[in-house]
Amino acid sequence: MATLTLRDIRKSYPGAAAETIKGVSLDVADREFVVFVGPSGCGKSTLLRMIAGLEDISGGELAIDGVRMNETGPAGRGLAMVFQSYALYPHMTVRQNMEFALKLAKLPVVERRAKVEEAARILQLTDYLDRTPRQLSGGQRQRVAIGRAIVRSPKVFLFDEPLSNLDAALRGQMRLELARLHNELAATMIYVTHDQIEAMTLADKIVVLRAGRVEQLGSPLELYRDPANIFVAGFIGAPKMNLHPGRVLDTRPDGVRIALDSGPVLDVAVAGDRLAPGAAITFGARPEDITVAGTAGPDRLSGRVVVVEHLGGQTLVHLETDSGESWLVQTDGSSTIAIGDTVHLGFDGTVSHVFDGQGQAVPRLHRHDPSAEAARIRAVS
Amino acid sequence: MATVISDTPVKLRASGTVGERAHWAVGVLGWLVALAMFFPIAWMVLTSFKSETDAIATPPLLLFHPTLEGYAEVQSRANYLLFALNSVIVSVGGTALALLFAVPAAYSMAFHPTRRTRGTLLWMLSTKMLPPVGVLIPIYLLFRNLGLLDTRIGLIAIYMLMNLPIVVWMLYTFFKEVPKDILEAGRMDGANQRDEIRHLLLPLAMPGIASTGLLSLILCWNEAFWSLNLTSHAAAPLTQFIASFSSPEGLFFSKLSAASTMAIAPIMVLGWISQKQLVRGLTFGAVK
Amino acid sequence: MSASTMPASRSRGAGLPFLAPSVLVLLLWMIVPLAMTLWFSTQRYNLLDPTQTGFAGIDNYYYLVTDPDFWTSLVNTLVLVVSVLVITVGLGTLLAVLYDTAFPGRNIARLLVIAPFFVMPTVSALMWKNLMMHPIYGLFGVVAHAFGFAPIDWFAQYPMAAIVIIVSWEWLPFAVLILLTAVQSLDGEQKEAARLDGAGPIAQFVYIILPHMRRAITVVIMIETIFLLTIFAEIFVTTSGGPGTATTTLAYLIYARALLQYDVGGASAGGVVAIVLANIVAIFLVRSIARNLEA
Repeated sequence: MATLTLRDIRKSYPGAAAETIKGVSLDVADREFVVFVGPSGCGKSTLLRMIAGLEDISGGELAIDGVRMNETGPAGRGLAMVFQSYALYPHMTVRQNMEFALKLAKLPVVERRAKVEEAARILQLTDYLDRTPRQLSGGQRQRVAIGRAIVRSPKVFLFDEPLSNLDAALRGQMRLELARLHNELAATMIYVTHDQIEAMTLADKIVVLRAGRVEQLGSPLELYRDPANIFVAGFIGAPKMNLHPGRVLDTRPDGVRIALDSGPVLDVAVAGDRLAPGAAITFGARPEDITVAGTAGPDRLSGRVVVVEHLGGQTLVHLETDSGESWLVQTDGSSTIAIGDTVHLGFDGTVSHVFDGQGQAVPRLHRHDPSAEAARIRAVS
Repeated sequence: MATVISDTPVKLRASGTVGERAHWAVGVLGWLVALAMFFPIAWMVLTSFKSETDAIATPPLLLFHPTLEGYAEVQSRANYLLFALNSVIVSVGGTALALLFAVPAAYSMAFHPTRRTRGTLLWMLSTKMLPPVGVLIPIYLLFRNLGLLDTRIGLIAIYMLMNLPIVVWMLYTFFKEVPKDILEAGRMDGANQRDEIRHLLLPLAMPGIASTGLLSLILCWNEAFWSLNLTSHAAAPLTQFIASFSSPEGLFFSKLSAASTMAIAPIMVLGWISQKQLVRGLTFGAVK
Repeated sequence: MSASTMPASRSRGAGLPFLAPSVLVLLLWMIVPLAMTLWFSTQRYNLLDPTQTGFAGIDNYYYLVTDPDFWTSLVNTLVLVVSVLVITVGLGTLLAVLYDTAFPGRNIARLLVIAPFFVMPTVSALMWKNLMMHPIYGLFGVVAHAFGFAPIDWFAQYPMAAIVIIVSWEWLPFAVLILLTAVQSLDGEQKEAARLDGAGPIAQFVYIILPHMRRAITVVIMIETIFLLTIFAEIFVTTSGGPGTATTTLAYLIYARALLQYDVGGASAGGVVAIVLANIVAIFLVRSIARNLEA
């Protein structure tokens, strides 16, 4: 059992005007896989290092299994960390790398050996135990770094952008392996990344950070379907959500009618009670939720195609409206749209997003239901 | 292209005889300068294998019967071994002591920097710029009163202090190159500061520590201000021994050359080995 | 509480005991002799004459500046330092460019060039004095003789020039070593771009290489100055400051006052002057180093 609680955690450096971490609260449940995601400089690594004990906590409380840990050093917290650079000890063999913590803990040799060999088995490193890190490939080094964490049977695994030094192919493979490992070890994990695909695929819970604050916290699909604000909307999801300005025309019980600055008038199924006619809003639509329609119309957006990216299974069409806005649409792989074509886009009001003047999401009427998702997952597995 | 003469990245001049000739001209010039610079040393080594009479023959002999007379005489007449031993003891002692003080200091500044670290480093350097002659008198008097004149321990202390800023500085730059992540990984693994230094930092920074030690050895070995002023016989190193040849009590070129050759040979090899790191140490990292 | 069980900040505090010994000994090494030199310089203090005691005020300084030997020594020091700087930095820059160019056996040639730097000062001084510059047996004399010239008695006729030659030979390798490192750090593409722009070797040297080396040259000048100001062994074993005071530099003057004439007060006043001179250079050097320090 390992739970982790952050209560209003703050970090300020002496001499720096603004806080680096501005009050983060979070509950990590046992065996949960939590991902901190955000642009560089958002404080996600600092937050992880504060949990690890490598950085001081300036304010708030960190508790592991209900015990306050602010004043405990890194070794005393029972955590293990996998570094971005792997931080393998270059002068030690793979075995010595994995054994180091156990040796410092003065574990008997027999026990040490058993633990190292078990970890090596799980990570398919058995044949490499007597090599030095220099003789290993990037993926193997990565696995040694994980192995070094595993042997300590930590309460929580901490990962600091562990895949960012790997090439694209290997990254995909290691991502799967980490997911498998999480299952196999039934461990609590906290994972920092700037890559929202890693966040989406690995996390039970995503914490989106920006400038030291939590922007939103929730399951991947919650964040994807119901981003709390423009930042999360733009950050989660690839290709990125189209976000463009508009104005409220009218509010009704079943939604609001808006006019985009670029022309079309749309009905969107969001709660209108907070919006007044004439209010400036931002309209958001994911590229995959937009359809290419045959004809123009008052609820259609027309634009000229500037770039077409054929990805095989799908096609990304970039277009520019007369008003100068850039839009991105995802269509099927067999699309014959070509550069210079004029296309007309249709929108689905039930899956589109509206953000108010402060950039906060206006609640959708067809919200994503976490319990329904959970039920579906149970049914599948 | 014909105007490009002296600069010769080989890849750019696959063809063209002008480049080819320039290439050779540079080579010849480079070698001529090198031989000229090295010539006095070579001549000295040559002289050390002559007999005293051959050594002062005019015109100088290029062909002669090589003999170890000079070397033998250095051994028998002067107490060469004592001086050599003193050189070894004070150089190694001063270097070891400086490393002992400097490793923890450099560790602390490289991995636990505070707002004062930068100032401390620069201040340490500035102590190196105090001219020894400016403090000769107090040091001499202190040594006299403490009974440290002409003692190895006194010279070791001076050498340690003299080189400490350079040693701290070099170690600091080498330690800075050890990835912080690795020490943090150690900390996560439960290493305390002693474990961190012993099991991680020292093995990782060993090449840097070695070349720092080498530079310090060279500087101690060749130091000729304090050794000439603070020692006379009992603790006198080779610099003092060679200086004793300056008194005009007859000409003994062969013996002088033999003694000098023995005095500089070991350190020259060390110097050649560590020339890259030397730049870093001698310029305090100001030239990279 | 062992360091590992402490959070980051407290273990950081543990860095201080690590630093303290070095700081402490260096502080002592700097403060105590400095204070003593300053103190002695205001005292009537001669080791040979215990009756001569008491506060001298600025008398020692007065005697010093009214002593023609002091001014001679300052001029000698200046001549020595400037000559050696001009020779070593000038030749050093050219040689650095020369040895940056690839030619067969370059690495070995380079080792030969830097070799003199590792020769202990007493050895290089005596080697030059006896094997090279000796009027009868030295190679220079022999060569001059062979060409029908009268051999030069270097240390009698041109003592300062002789010292300058020896010291330059010792310090040229230093300049080459540092400046070569600087040249090598020059981006090769920059030179190639200049060449494509039509720059010949001289234009490249003037517009690309020299500006790139400026910083390194400054550093060489400053470091050499600090060491050259206190050149001692070379003079000690060759001329002993003579003939007369022809090669008496400030460093040698202080030594002679202190350990030959046992005039502690006067020598200390000279020491203070030496410290002030070195510090003028040191300030610039430290500032230049500080700019490169990202601590």
